[in-house]
This record gives sequence, C-alpha cells and structure tokens, in this order.
Amino acid sequence: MCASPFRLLRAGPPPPKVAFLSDALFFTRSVPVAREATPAEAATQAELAMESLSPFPLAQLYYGWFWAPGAESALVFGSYRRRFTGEQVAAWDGAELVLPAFCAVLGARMEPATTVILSATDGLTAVHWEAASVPAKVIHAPLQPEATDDARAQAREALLREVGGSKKVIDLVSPLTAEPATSDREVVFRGPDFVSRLSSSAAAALDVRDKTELAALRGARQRDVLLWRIMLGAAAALLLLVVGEFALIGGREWQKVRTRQYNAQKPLVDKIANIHELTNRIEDLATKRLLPMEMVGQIVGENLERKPQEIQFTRMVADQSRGLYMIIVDGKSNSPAQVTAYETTLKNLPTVQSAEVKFGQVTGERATFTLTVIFKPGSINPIGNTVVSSR
Amino acid sequence: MIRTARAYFLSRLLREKLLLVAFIAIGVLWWLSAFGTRLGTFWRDQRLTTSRLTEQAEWIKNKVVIEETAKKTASRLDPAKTLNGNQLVTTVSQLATEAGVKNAQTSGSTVTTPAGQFAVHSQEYVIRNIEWESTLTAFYTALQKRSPYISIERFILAASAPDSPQLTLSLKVTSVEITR
Repeated sequence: MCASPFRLLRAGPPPPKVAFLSDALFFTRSVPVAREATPAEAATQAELAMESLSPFPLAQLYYGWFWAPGAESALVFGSYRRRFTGEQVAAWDGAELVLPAFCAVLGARMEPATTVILSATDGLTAVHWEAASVPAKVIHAPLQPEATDDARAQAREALLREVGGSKKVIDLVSPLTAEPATSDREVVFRGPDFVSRLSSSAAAALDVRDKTELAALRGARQRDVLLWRIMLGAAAALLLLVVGEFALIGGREWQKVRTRQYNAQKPLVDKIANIHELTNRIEDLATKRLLPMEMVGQIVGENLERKPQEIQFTRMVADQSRGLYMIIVDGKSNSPAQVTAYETTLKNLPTVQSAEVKFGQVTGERATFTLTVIFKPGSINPIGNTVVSSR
Repeated sequence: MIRTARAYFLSRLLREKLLLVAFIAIGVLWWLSAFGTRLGTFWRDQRLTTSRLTEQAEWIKNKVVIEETAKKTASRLDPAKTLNGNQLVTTVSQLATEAGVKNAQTSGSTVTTPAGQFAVHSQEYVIRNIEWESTLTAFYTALQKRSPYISIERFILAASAPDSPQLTLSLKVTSVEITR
C-alpha cells in the first residue's frame, strides 16, 4: 500500500498466486470419456471415475482432472485430505490455483509419445502423452532431497522405462512458474524453452480444493470482477468528465469570442433596428392615419340617413392605441329595438368589419348603450371626405 | 497497466474494494451533477448567443435595404415642414384660431420621444363648447391637411351638456421632427 502508485503500475501485473503441491501426494489415473462429451459431461464422468477409483468418498479428497475437448480420456488425480496439515491448507488462502506441480505442464502442446520429466527436490515426475491432447500417464518417483545426480539419473531411466514408448523426452530441470496474466481466458506457465497454456476452465478443473469452497471463491471472484468493472466504468466516466471539462473550457472561450462579436455588432444592429422602426412609424403616419370624423361619417351616413332619429350619440372615442380602425360610441335611445336594428344596418355596411352594441342602463323604453365599430383596414378614404352635418 | 491496476484492485479486501468503488462512484456522480449544471448553463448561453447572432446577421444582411427604405421614406417628408414640440403647439393653436375655435387649451406639457435622427412630439388639447358644423369640421380638416407632419392620435368627442349642440373635444396630436 505504501508503494508509489506509478511504480506499482510500471511494475506490471503480478503473476497469479499458484500453490503447487507435491506430486508425491497424489494418485493419478487416465479414465475414458466420451469423445463428443461437453465440458459439463466430461466433468461428471471424471468425478464418477474418481469416485469409483478412490477408496475414500469424494468429500474426503482433494481432487481435480484434466480433459481437453474432443479427447477420449481424462486425467484424474486426487489425494486424501488428511495427508495435508492444517498449516499447509491455510497457506492456500488467497491462492488463485491449488494444484499438483505436474499440472503446470498439462497445457503444453505435445506430440504423441512425448514424456516430460519434472524434477523436484522430493522426486521426479514423468508425464507421458500417448495422444496429443491429454497425458495418459503420470508417474512419480520419490527421491531423498540429498539424492545424488546418479541416483536421479537412475530414477529418470526407471521412470522412462515404466512409462514406455517415449519418442521424445523433455527434461524440465527447474519448475515452471506462472506468468503475469494478460487475460482472464488462460493461465500460462513458463520455464526455459517450455510454455504451457491452460484455458481458464481447464485450470479451474485442475484446482484440487473443496468444490463447494471453489464455487464460493468463483462467486466472490465474479463479484470482485463486477466491482472492478464498475470501477473501470467510473474511471472511464471520470476520464470523459475531464475531456468534457476541457471541451467546456474551449466552449466558453468560443462563447466569449461570439459574445464579443455580439457586443461589437450591437450598436450597428441597434442603429439599423431604430432606422427600421422609425421608417415604419413614418410610413404609418403617412399612410395609416386615425380618421375619427370619417368613421363617424360612415356610421351615420352622409345625410344622417343611417342613424335612426330615436338614437342620440353622447360621446365618441377614436384612439390609435386601441385600434386605427375602431370607433367607440356611447349613446342613448328611447327605442332599444331601433338600436338593435341600427347595429344590423352597420354590420351590413361593406366598409364595416364588425359592429357590436352593448346595452347599459335600460329603463322602460329608455336605454343607454355602447356601440363598437371596427372598419376594414383601408376601407375609409381620408382624401375628399365629406364631413357630415350634426343634425 | 490496466491489468496491473485490476490485479491490485482484486487483491484488496472486500471492504477496501467497496470503499474504493463507493468513493469513486460518489465522486463521479458529484462531478457529473456539477458538470451537468455548468453544461446546461453553457448550452443555454450559447443557444441564446446563436439566436442573437442570427438575428443580428439578419439585420446586417438587410442593412442596405432598410437604409434605402428609410431614405425613400424620409424623402417623402420635407424637413422644413416637420415640427418640434413648440412648433406643434403653436401650429395647432393657429389652425384652431383660423378655424374659429376659441377655447383650444393645451392639457399638460408636450411629450417628446427622441429616436435617432427623428423625434416624436405629443400634445393633448381640450376644446370646450365647440360646434360641429361651424368650427369642428373646419379645424379637423385643417389638421388632416397637415398630415403626416401632424397626426391625430386620440379623438374624444362628447356633448358639453345634455341635449346641447355644443361639444367638448379631447384631442391628442403628434408631430414628427427630423432633428438631423
């Protein structure tokens, strides 16, 4: 935790923790498996074979198997649990794989009739392939740690004789070591001039630990990977946010340039807008005049022929802010029916867009009213208008 | 490098993993929220500026046409005939006198709205006891003849008394002045 994060990152990923167990503690057998079996079926067949081969129930064994898709046999191996001390088992904590040492070579691509001799302090192990994919025999010859080279050579010869039929023999003097993982799909063991690549599923089947415990470990691993992916997603989001912040800074600079452009252009644009507004105003003054007397002339007629005698106007309003073509007339009458008839007459005038009467106070035959008349735009000509008589 | 970080992360205790994920997730959410607010503000600003600049570009594009129209419109007005505030008052009073209106009174003072090379002046009048045929029509016709230099903005006519032939006129007139 104290190491510099950069130093840690530069160092690269550590190799997976693999606990290699002594080959001497395991018995091995090659068992037949249906050629077309699926990995799940092969696992079942291997476990059944292990159960039948072992004098102990599976629950009392540390066991595993190796099978390659399409192979007609699987290599099973197991060991009685009590052969391992509590301290030894405790040392497996945190290990990604716990397997016999010979399992490291099982992922190597071997020609048929090849034997690999693994050398360890406690003995020699011969792994022999009859066919290409799955070894047929694994034999261990125990040796004393202080055994001489001659003794080792004799043991090697004995192993090769026992295995028999070896066309090619590979001696691995030093044990294979796990390489730092470059993917989750495989585990690589490497030694001088020797590489063994095991797929993740094959490596999982080699793990000898309690299968329930392994399932729990795999569940925890999946959870951890999920957490890692969330972390990765969050880190990607952080990266995007950093990019976004830079983009925003750039955007703000761009916006500043545009704001400066807007401010620089504003006086000119305001001037143009003012000119436009004034032009419209002058145009309106010249062409759209308020014509109150002409509007009165329209509603009463040239000789007062439109306005009934019973109707008397008391007030009239023409206001440009209310409408250039609107006139509002307050009046009174001693015949409300005539007012309504008058409204109809006005509505029928070709120059009138709308005419509406609203009665105010009505007492018997006497009524006050407000008449609102809106003329059609341009229908009233100001030139040569006839100003009506007040009668 | 990612594999290294991954291996480092996976080798941590569960609580450490959870804390790391929680801290980073909270940080991301916090930052995202703040960034979203700032992005929203920036987006609104830039859209506003874009629309303003588009509007400005439209005005500038039409500058020549607007100026030509303004010149054409201004050429219809004789600067000598345009009236300032005082001239508006005196001219309307003179027109009233000439039409036989005796009681033309200004109501309030002249209101001037300057706008560039033009100014618009408004003045309200109250004329009492005016008669329709003898004076009002003459005054109105005289006013309309001065259009567009003088225009009527509001015209309110009411009977001075019930059944009286005399009227009260409230009038608001406007003049345009070419100041430059």
